[in-house]
Amino acid sequence: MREENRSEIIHDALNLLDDEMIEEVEKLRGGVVEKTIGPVKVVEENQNKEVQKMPRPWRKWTALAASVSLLILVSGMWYGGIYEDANHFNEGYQDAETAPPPVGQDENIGMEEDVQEDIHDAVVDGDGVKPESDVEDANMSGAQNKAVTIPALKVNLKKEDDLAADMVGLFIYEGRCYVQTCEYMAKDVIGEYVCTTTGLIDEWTEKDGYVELAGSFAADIYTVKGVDSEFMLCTVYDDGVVETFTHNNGISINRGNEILEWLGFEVGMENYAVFCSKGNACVNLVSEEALDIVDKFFANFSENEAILRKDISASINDDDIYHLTIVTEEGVPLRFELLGDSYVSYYGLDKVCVKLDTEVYKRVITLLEN
Amino acid sequence: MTDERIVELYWNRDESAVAETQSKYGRYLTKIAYNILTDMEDSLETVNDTYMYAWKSMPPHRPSVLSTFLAKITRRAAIDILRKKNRDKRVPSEYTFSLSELDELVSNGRTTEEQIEVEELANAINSYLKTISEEARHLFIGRYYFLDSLKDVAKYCGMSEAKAKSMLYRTRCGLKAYLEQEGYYI
Repeated sequence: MREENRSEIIHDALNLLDDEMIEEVEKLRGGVVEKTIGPVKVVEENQNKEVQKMPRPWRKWTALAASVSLLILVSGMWYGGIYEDANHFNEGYQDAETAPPPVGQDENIGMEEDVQEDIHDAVVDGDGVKPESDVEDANMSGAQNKAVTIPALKVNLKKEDDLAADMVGLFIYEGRCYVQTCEYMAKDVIGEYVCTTTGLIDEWTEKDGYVELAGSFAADIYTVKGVDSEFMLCTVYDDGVVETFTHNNGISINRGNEILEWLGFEVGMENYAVFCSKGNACVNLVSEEALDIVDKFFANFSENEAILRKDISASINDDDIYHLTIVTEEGVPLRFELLGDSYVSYYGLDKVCVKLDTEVYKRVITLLEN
Repeated sequence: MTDERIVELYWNRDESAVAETQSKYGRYLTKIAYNILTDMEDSLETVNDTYMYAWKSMPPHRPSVLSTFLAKITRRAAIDILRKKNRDKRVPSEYTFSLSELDELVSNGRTTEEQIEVEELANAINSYLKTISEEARHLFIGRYYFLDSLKDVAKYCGMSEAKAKSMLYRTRCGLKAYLEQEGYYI
């Protein structure tokens, strides 16, 4: 079928809309003014309603929160040793033995995950090694010292029988390990071609570490429209389904805003759709009230600190988890999980969550339950 | 004259029915046609065709709301004319703009018998529109049925253009998800 015919079928179907719904809009269009179109005066519907602009008080609040964060950060920098970028957090450590392993470096490979986590705990708790800055005064530590680190993934890239079938999907690109998310999307989200992975390697040992473009499969890799390519890439399978892969390890995260930035999602931006789902049920939220609640939800997510999921006590059955999905203008679905007890996690970054203010979280749950 | 009275004239084969229809709804129907055709001559011709079709269809039809009945005839006729005349070149109009917006709803999937598809699709769209808010529904119908400009639709729905655009986008996304869930591939 020609592409234009498909859209035209929708118009033909619209001609069969229920009369009652059409009449509702006819009444709104009623009240007329005359307007000249070409040589003939054509009466055109007009509307006496005033255009109302919805107030967005949270924007001022978010700006204030951002200003306060900046003030703390600047104060921390004045006392020395605080680094601007969470991903450079590791560089400030003086003691190489206890510093967390740098991202993507060979030293990561072969380290057991619990060893890496011990180092991470030491870093976060400030045991043994402290940056130059004096972190005893919490007010001066700034948000930077509370960044959480997800250790780099230990991988085995050797081509062995049956290994590929058991492996989680992953590949190495520019020293970063991207891991499959089991998030599937339509082809519209594909951006630019990035590289072609080569699959597993015949001659590989742990000492080789991350080998560029190696991974559990060989395929073309693309960016995802609107999403930071250092965080997410994708591949498309033979059936046309796209799966995303995230660089969800060997990273440090300070606050929720970093996650949203990677995803290309700006709080308050327009032209996105919101869906909530639980189990097999899915609802599109369109009312102004609902969207306002969702905006506040993400504003709160943005400003609150990241926490490792292993450190939280909230436990919830998978069937009871609400998902809040943002579909961007590019058609990219960004799924967030509501884990209970005000914790929220981005689906492709499941080792990290953010604790929202109780009231903000409750409002969303109430919205979703209704 | 009330709709009921005008319909009665049609049923009595009283030729003043057409004149009364033109007097009450001529401009309204011309606007609908013009939104699609952007050509006054073609629009007037479409409206004349509408009167002729109305004469032929009443009886047996006895619409309770004449405006809606006539609007559907005019809309369909105008779209048919546009398709016939401009199959290979696009004339900018609200109809063609809306085609590109609604194109998001169609997938690259398989096809079915067109007529059955249209009716089933209509049922699905009707069902979906009943699940969304009144505001979103009015916007959708104003934009894609009446083919009013975004500016006009936003105005009579009482909101800013930005908000209308945003809400329409969300509604299209929701409709697309609903259609896919119901197994509609166009």
